Amino acid sequence: MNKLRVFSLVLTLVVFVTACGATTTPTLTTAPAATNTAAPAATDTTAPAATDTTAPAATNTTVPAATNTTAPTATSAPSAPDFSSLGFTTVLASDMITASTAYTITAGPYTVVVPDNAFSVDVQFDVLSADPTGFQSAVPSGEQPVLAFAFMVMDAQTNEFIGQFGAPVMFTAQSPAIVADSKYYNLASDGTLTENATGLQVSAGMLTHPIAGDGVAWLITSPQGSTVGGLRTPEQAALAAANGQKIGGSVTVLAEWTGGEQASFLAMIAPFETATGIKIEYTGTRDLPAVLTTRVQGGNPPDLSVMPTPGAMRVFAANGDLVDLSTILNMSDINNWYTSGWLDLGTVDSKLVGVFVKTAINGLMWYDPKVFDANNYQIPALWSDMVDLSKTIADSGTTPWCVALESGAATGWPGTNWLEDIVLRQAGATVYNGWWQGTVKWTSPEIKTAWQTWGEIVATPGMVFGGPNAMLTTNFGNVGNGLFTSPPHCDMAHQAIFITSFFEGGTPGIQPVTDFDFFGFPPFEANQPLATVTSGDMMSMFNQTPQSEALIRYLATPEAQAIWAQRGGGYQSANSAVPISLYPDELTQRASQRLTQAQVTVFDASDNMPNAMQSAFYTAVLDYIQNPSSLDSILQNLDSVQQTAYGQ
Amino acid sequence: MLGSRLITAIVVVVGVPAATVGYVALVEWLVGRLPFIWRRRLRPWLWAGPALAFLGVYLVYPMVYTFVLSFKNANSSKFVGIDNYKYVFTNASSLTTLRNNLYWLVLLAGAVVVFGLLFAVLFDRVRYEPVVKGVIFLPMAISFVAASVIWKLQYDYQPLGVAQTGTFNGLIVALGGQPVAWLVDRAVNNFALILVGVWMWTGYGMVILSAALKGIPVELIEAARVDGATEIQILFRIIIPMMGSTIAVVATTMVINALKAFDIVYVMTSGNYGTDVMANQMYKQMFLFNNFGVASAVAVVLLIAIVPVMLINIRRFRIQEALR
Repeated sequence: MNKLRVFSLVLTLVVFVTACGATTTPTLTTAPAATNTAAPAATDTTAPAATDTTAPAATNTTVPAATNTTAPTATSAPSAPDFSSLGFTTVLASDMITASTAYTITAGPYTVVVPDNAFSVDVQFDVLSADPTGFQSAVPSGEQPVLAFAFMVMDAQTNEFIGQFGAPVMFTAQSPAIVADSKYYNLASDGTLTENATGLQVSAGMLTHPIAGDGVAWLITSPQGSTVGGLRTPEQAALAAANGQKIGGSVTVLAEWTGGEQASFLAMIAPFETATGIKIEYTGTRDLPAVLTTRVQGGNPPDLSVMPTPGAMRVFAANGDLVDLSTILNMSDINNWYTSGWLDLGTVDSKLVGVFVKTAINGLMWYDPKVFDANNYQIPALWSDMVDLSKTIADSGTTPWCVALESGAATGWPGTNWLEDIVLRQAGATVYNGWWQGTVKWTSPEIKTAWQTWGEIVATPGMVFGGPNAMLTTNFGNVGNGLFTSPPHCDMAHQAIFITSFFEGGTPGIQPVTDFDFFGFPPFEANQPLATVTSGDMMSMFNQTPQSEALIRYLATPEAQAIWAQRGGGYQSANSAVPISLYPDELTQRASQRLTQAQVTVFDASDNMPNAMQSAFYTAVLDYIQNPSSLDSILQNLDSVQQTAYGQ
Repeated sequence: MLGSRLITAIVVVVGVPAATVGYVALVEWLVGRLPFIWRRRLRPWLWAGPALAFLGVYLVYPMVYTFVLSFKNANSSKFVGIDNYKYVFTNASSLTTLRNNLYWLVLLAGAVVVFGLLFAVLFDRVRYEPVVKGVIFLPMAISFVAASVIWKLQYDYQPLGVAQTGTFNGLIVALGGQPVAWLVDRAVNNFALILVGVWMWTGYGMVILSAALKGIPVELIEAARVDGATEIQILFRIIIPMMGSTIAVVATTMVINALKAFDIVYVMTSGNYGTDVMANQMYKQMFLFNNFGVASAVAVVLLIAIVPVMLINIRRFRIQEALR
């Protein structure tokens, strides 16, 4: 035991010395000499205590060595600063980091990139947050605190506080509340603030700063009232959603978001938890339909839940399980934020029972702008132009299209997206909706024409690279690979917005806008209203409580959705008040513009069909690709499935 | 957490044998109080009772229930007579699965017996027999899903003009041929899938047949040689007839495997392009379409198809026992 203690003492010393060395690393050299003066000052005191006091003493000479007085004697371990008395009670992340190992922590709006030389021992790294509005009186006038956070780093073996890291960690905060003029403060445990501009980088919506420990908390402020897009801070929006009261309590939420999506959702609700004191008990499951159905039937529904499909939502609504949100949400705000298409999708029997929290646009046509420029190809305005362009490209000796339908057990779904895009624009929303609802037959002229229209591309020799076999055996994620070969195998591909990450993965080094770009699925006639097929997640309410009311109000706000929008990952918001500039790249920004401006918005039809119908649709796509001449028998078979699939 | 796990472990390790011994002791104590004639009648039933109960709960009851469900509609709310069976035997896609299972049955059983026998006989004559047999047997150690993924990569297809990533197409194109979409082309895809099954099971057939081969008395074969029989004659007139029952065992096992074929098809094609088999159809109907009626009907058809095979096995076993 004694040996261990001596060892940790030595380690602390080592950490301290390396930390001093770290002040000369490039990230910190821009410091206004403040951090440099720290070292001599610190070495005056005894070593273990020094780790505790270095930073406050260094960065703020006006602080009357508050932490010094509480510093333990040389023989005992350095104690942790008491962040909880400052209000840092929310633990956003609590990660175990192995000694000398690089690690990335994602915690609410924060990302902390830990380099491998930051810690020479295993540490428990906690990220704490506090309600920033509580610090309003401490910040200079004209500024408002928007984010407040602290690190609690403990030696995992000895449980001793580590105040100074071996190398600075890179801290990033993303929030619409951050603007170019945002400031970054050290917050000492006695509540004093000191501005810290060392290595600070701020842009609209994002702030990065290297942190080498310090034993202090941090506060980010923005000029009063200035946020991206004129939004409130998420905390303000959350507090308003709870009618201005910190009501506490808890709310259960069920959704299918796991992994990165779950992290983004948790980031979205973190300000809500701090501002309202309401604890969110989130369950993420990939098996949402089964879990939700079981819980509802067992009389134990979550307060709020994402709907597996709009179809499932209609079933729950018809059973009287869902609460009418129009009495809970501020409908004038909602009508400003969401176009009627989005609200219609969440409306059953003239009751609003679902509101979109997350969406994604389908049906974008991808191309390489360099190829289009070099050949003087024009972006087609109509479907017929696109077919003409395809013929031009084919005549020039390149196959115009790449199509990829393979996707394991769901092979064929990219083809259903093609057909949905065609049906919507060619036959209109009424036929489209009747089609997935099972009232429009597959053999009806509109649907048959859509297949034949698709056939102009996929059933025409020379139009698709590799022909049917390549279409059927190429994984959907590789659809873009042929765009970027030299010479290109094909010049155009069709897929939803998420495909960009596959492009970048398949052909490393290519850049959005310069190397790949998209145009919208072309309409069939000029002056048609902008129509989009989308997929996405709606949130519905099963239990009406003050807490669930507050949360659904908050989730519908642009402030909440902007948080996820900033984090990217193919996320798009249906809320038109989410500033487009917050999306991480230009392509997502443009795609989101299409989404919020669309006058006709329909939901992915195959995802809306009963499972047996959807599965038959997938198989029909494959059969059609293999044998286009058997279209009639394929459609007849789909009709017979339609007759039984909807009855269940 | 660890504590509760430890307690569970102790309960299982100590409790289960204790309960078993306790049951036997209890039964013996009870039986001991009965008249002698009853002891003899009751004892076997009481000893085998728990096993029979488990069998009843986990095998017989679900079987009967499946049989009942197969005459009900999708959500089992009303009886529909033989509609589900009509569907299984008339629906076009369902007929394809029946045809494919027949392919699997004939080709898998046939190929495993032929290759297993061939390898067993050939390797019996070489010094490095254990090594080669080990290599052939190795695929048995891989899970079906892993094997399917491996073969899916081997069957990979790229259009002509692009670097081939699949082993087979790489070879074909290098020799100047056209790449084949093994899993998509309806002329070959069923056989491509069955080949994976053959690759996996040949080792099993070989090991069992090899054991039987080594059981044939050397004197018999030497006597045949002395009488002037050729090696081919020895194989067909002596070895194969003497291994008849073992060959039947391997063949019937393969027939059952063929009827149960699922993993390979599910992973490699999901039953698309006319490669669907009954087990996959059952899975889809049950877990994807929630159609308990048709799923149960497929299960019953599979069961009925397997019963004769099992009867043959049991009869052979009885004949063998009688010979001893």
